[in-house]
Amino acid sequence: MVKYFYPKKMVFALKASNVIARLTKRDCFASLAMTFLVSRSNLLLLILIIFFHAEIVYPNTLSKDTAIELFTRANGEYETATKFLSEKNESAAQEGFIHASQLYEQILTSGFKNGQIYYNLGNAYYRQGKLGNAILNYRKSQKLMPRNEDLKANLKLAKAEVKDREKKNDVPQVIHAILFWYFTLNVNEATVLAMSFYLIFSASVLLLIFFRASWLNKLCIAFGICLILTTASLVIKICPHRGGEGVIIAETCKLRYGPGEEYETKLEIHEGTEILIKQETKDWLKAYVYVDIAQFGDIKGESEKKESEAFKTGWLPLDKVGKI
Amino acid sequence: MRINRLFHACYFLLAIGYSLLAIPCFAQEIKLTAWVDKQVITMEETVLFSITVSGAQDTNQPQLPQLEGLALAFGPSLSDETQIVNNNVSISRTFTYVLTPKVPGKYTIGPVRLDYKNKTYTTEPVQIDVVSSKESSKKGTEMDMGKRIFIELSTDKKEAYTYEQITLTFKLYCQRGFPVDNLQYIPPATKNFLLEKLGAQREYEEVRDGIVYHVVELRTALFPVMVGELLVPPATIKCNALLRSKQRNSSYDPFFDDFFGTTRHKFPVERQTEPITLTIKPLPEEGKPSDFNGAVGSYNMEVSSRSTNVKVGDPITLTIKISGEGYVHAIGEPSMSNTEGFKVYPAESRADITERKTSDLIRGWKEFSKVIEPVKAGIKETPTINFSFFDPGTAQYKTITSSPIPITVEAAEERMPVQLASTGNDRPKEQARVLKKDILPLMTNLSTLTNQGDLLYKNPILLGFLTLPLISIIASVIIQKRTEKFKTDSSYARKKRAFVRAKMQLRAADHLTTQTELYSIISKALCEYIADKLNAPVASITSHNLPVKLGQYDLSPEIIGELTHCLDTCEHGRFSNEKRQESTLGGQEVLKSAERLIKQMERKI
Repeated sequence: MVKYFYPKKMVFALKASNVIARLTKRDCFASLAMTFLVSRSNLLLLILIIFFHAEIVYPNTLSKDTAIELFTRANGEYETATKFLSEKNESAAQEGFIHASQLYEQILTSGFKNGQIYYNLGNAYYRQGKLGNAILNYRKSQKLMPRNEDLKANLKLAKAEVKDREKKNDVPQVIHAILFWYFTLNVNEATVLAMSFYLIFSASVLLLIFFRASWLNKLCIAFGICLILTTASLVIKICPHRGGEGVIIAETCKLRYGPGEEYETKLEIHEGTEILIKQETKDWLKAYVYVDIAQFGDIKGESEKKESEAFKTGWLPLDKVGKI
Repeated sequence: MRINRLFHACYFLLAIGYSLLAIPCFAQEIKLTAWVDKQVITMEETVLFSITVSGAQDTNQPQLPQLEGLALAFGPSLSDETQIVNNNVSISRTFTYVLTPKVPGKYTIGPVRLDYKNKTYTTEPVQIDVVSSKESSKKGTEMDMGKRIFIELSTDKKEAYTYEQITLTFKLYCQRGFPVDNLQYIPPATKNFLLEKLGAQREYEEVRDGIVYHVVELRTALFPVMVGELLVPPATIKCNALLRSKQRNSSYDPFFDDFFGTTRHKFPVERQTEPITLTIKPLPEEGKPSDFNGAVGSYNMEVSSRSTNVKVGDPITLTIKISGEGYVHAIGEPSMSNTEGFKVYPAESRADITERKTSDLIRGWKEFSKVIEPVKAGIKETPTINFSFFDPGTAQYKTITSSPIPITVEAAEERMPVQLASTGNDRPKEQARVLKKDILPLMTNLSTLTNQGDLLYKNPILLGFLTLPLISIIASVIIQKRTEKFKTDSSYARKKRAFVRAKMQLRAADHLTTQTELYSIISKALCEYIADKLNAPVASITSHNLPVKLGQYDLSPEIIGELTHCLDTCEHGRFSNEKRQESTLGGQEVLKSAERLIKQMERKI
């Protein structure tokens, strides 16, 4: 559409600014790029284009101000609902919590993601009695705010109410202490750390090329090790994002032997149980469930253990699982 | 008139003041002393014989006794002296006679008599030794040095009880007018004694054996802490006596000596006293009270209480003040009797010495603050305080008993017990019960509400930016290697720089005006370029051997031919007279041709 109404130079500028805006997701970058790309004589025209084509340039993501406004509104709804709850007006409270969760969801679906929003959404779902959704959102929040103590407390409380007993191989404290950056930083923080080490390492290598000092050699080795460690941590951290973990959001869910209703049920698991997604089809998920199985009781020997682990892997309907 | 009255009033006040000041001088005792300025004189010297009447200035001339071996040369001269020290007025009158010796020998002057107000006063006789001038060198300074400066150490008693005060007196005698320098006092290194200084040093004059001495007196109170024969080690002084040079006149006149700058030499003097042995007796066992706590001296005791109307459990502070003569720091806590109905706490004490300057005995006080607490109502008086001490003056023990202080003790009000500290009961701790578990409230921190959904590692601009260091490193490696090759491989360096050099030379040639220089530069640029490219000496490049040299490269015969022609033209242009007549256009054509040839060769070689 633009192509037909404006001069060729302007169309090129618009396209370039579109590309930059998509890459950066910042209006200012887009306009700046356009300002540089067009001549001064077309500046007025350019401003008009930005005005009319703002939606085209930046279609879905909320601006921070809008996000804050919605977030504040949602928090207000939640607080009002809490007051209703204390006044034993449960229906009004339920309505308030639903409204608050809808507002939080609206912010998140627009592409604006923040640990606080997930946490508050988790709280709103918890109040509605949707334990699965609450745990799902707490876990999502934990990915963004791994050091938050309030979040840990709420997640622990929510998990305590899950019917199925969780069985996860927790990482020992020693490993936590050694690889502290892995467990205490979110993906973006880990990226910044790795990038910092990358830049420092590059700088020290550059120095080494020109000034061949032995201490620079040692410095390069030290920063190189740090870079490898942080980059490896980042890669491991990113992989689960792609591999996928999930939470059962339906009240009950049957783990089947195959991807379909026709397959027999292995286990019946309940809302809030965490799973590890291994494979995904159109409507079904192959997943490993973190539950303790009663049939195997006290597992003795390696074969029993393997059998137990294999038994926990099965197929789940996609609509009953929330992906973290 | 007014001024006149004021003057009269001032005069009157001054008269009263003077009369008040004069009162003590009437009460002063009359004292007659006779002294000489030196005891050993030669036949050539004179001696000043002075008689001082202290306490009066209205006396007659004293009767001078018969002089043997000496003759009165001059006198008497009169001098009156009034001293006011700390409001104490002392007056004196001195009659001075100048005596000359007749015959060497030892003579005694006096005693001198003075009749004043119906009383006769006499002096001690004064010894004078008249020697011949030969003997004087031996006796003059060395003989007299012992009498001119000496020290004494003494105690007021040789026997004492433990903790009884012994006054140790140190006196330094120095003849009046005898100059000394760098005076250093080393006090006796006393052990087994507690020391208290008795006032500041005293300074006065004293006549001894007819010589006036300036005396410095230091007093110390000693309190023996051991029993037995205790030794007070000797005290020592060290100083330099300033003696006049013998070359000058033997008569001593400080004014002329100082005025003419008479040199004085220092004569080191060291004096040491005799040690003193003291016998310290133990306190007698006989009659020793049971509550005796080591106090020695003469004391009084005062007991007081701030609060007399109290309730059960309220503290009453009894202040026990013991004051008197003796070493107050050694006083122990007085005992207490009739303490029934009281809870008694240990006393706190403080002590101070109040008098050490004026008196010969150390005086002071020690105060005990004793807290007692009535435990029942109806108690009428405080307990009795008993204090026992040993009086060395009477060699007896004495006990002072204070009369009890009347008090009123009422029943205490019921109070909440005060928990002072944990008693460490092993009572089982109770666990706090969790009433309800609930989720924590919302997060509402808007300052951190940023979009965390954008993953940095997916940002292409950032990833693109991250390639910059990598590119920099690769570029740096290439540059570094190239630089190294330039440094180490000269043929490579020549080859690489050949084109730039040739281009610069030809550009410089463009601005030249004379044909000869132009041809020369073009020829030089071409030859150097080819030499650099072939890594050969410049001299080896000629138009004749060019086909051979450039034959191995992929150069067309036209280029080689043109190059040869170009070089020949340059040579011809440089050295031939015919070519000088040509316009500069020919040179410019050759320049352009050279530029084109170099560009063509650069592609091939």
